[in-house]
Amino acid sequence: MDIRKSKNHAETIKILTQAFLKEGTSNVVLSQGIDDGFYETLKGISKKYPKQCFDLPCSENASVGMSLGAATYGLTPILCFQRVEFALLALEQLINNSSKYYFLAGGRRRNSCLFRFVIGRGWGQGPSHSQSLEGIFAQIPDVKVYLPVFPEDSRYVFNTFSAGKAPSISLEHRWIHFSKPSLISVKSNSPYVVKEGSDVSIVATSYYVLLCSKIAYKANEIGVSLEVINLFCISPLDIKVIMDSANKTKRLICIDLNNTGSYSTSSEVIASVTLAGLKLSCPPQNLHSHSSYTPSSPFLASQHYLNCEDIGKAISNVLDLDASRKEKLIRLCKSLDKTNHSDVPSELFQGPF
Amino acid sequence: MSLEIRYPIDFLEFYHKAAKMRALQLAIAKHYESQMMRCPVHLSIGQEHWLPLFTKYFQSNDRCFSSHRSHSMYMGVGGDEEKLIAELHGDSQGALSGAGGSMHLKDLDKGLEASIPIVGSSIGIALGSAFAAKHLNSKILTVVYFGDGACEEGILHESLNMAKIFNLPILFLCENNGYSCNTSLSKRQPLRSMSRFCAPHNIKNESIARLESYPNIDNKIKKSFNKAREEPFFLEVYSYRLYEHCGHKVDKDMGDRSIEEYTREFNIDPINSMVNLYDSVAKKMEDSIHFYSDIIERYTNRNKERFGK
Ligand SMILES: Cc1ncc(C[n+]2csc(CCOP(=O)(O)OP(=O)(O)O)c2C)c(N)n1
Repeated sequence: MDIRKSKNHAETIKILTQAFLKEGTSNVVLSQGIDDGFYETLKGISKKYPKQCFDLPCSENASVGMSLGAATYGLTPILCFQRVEFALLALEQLINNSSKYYFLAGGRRRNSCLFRFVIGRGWGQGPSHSQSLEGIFAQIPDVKVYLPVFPEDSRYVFNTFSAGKAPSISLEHRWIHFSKPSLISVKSNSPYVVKEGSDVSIVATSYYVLLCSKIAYKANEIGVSLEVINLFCISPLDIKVIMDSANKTKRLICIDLNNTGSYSTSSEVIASVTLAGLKLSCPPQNLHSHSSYTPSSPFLASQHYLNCEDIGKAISNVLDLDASRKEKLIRLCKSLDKTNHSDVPSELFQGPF
Repeated sequence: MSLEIRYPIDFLEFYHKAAKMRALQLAIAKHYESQMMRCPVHLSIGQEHWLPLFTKYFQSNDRCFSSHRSHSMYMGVGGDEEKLIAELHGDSQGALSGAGGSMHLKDLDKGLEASIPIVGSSIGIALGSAFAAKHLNSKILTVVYFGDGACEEGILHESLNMAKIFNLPILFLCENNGYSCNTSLSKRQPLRSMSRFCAPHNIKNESIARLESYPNIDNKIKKSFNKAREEPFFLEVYSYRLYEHCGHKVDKDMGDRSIEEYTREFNIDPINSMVNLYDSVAKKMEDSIHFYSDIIERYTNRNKERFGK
């Protein structure tokens, strides 16, 4: 397969959605402004399947409640919010009426549906449109929480969500819509190795998987071998692949989209592997954004987000490198950082969203 | 209006049913004191008179969603009384095998799909039930039951709007008992009627006054159910709760309530009127209290053993 010609992640989601709607009329998609195409992922779909596509008013709590109820009583809904922050107005329904419904009905009522919430980044998204908040959702028992990176990840999510007993939530980072196939087929919701290596295990989520993979290929040039793991599904969290990797490398770096290192995805991963008895040669690293909130300005935002140089420094911290190799590694990583256009996924990207 | 006109003999069988509902709740109240039903219970003593007419128009495929004050709808759909009693006792024979207690009652075979004790929360799920029914063309009515307090929650207003936009077959059934816990309505809202929220969403509505005659109640409930099968409809029922918000005691003067108010309302209580008017209703009430008390005592005694008392 020629990667350059293959469909990117957004196009893949569109194809998956079309197949979903074609499957049966009880499959429905709901979104505010659905005709606008939801970042190309629903482009033209409401025209093609007008009876199965529903535009929504700005009523997030009722929209989530309606999707959950509809999922119990005969439909299979996909509900999309342009930003994950909008789901904050719907936490009441999400937390009170998702998997608890199955519990209270003694298993006689299910509400499997898919919630697609987008995590914003770049082009001045600022503090209200760039949070990831996955930990909030991961606290709901029996709800599956995904952070897809590659088209194959979303393929897995689309193919499996309707068989669950409770909802699945896919938190799509805006910049992973541009990712190309990894050519790794995703067969379970377990984390998986994206690039093999022997010196350090890096467990990353979402967009950072792409950055870390880039770094890993570059680091090979100076003989540093990094194993990159796509965490993919943060709840339920299956740590086997992480344990196997870190047992081999004895070094662990966790990188997530969170703005603080506490109560975060990485802190959960580190806690879990520690409880499972993992022994490392040095303390694990927990990497997250530099400040509590994302500033809007592209100049300030570039200081907020982790970049390749930050990750390079963390790698050099867990490796016993002599001073010159250390400096070389960091310089190499830094060379991957964009000097211009650090607030867009690619130079072709046009604002505002 | 004389009591004979308000509660004419033609509806006697319904008064019997209402008396049984009161009896079940009085029996629960009587035994609650022994502390063997260890879950919060929101009785609807004082609010039962119209429920037998709800039963009359609720069809076997219809789906009902309730608030925390769930005994009303449980009895309204014809839920199994012994399973309710068992559930209150945390018994595995209970309606939810002990998972939910009073505030989460369900009878999935009778159409009570859920009771949710987060004020307003069941409205969202009910909206989905109606959305699915409409999309699948399945002629199922969804009824969502809530109080005046729930009308202070955003989800009601979101849901009224969406029900109208999608023209869903749903009945918003609001029981206005004038209180949210111990706080009177006048402290919480500028106007007394909950039906006032319909106009902004262009939803048709009906309301049943506190002393509405039984034939009128019958007509209004019938009309509401019929209309709601075609488009969203809002029915407000004015009533008065005689017992405390949560628990087994009579509520004469808790919070904003005065003894004068309580006495006035007690004297016009519909079930008391039916009992005073018809000997057979009085007898039904008495027999039913014994009947339910016997069942409750069985479970209460079993729990006493389990608690080692
Ligand atoms: C969201 C939420 N807020 C507050 C409460 C506490 N609470 C439980 S019942 C109740 C009263 C609600 O009044 P209303 O809706 O009129 O129902 P009623 O009890 O009169 O039947 C309140 C405030 C709750 N359970 N959920």
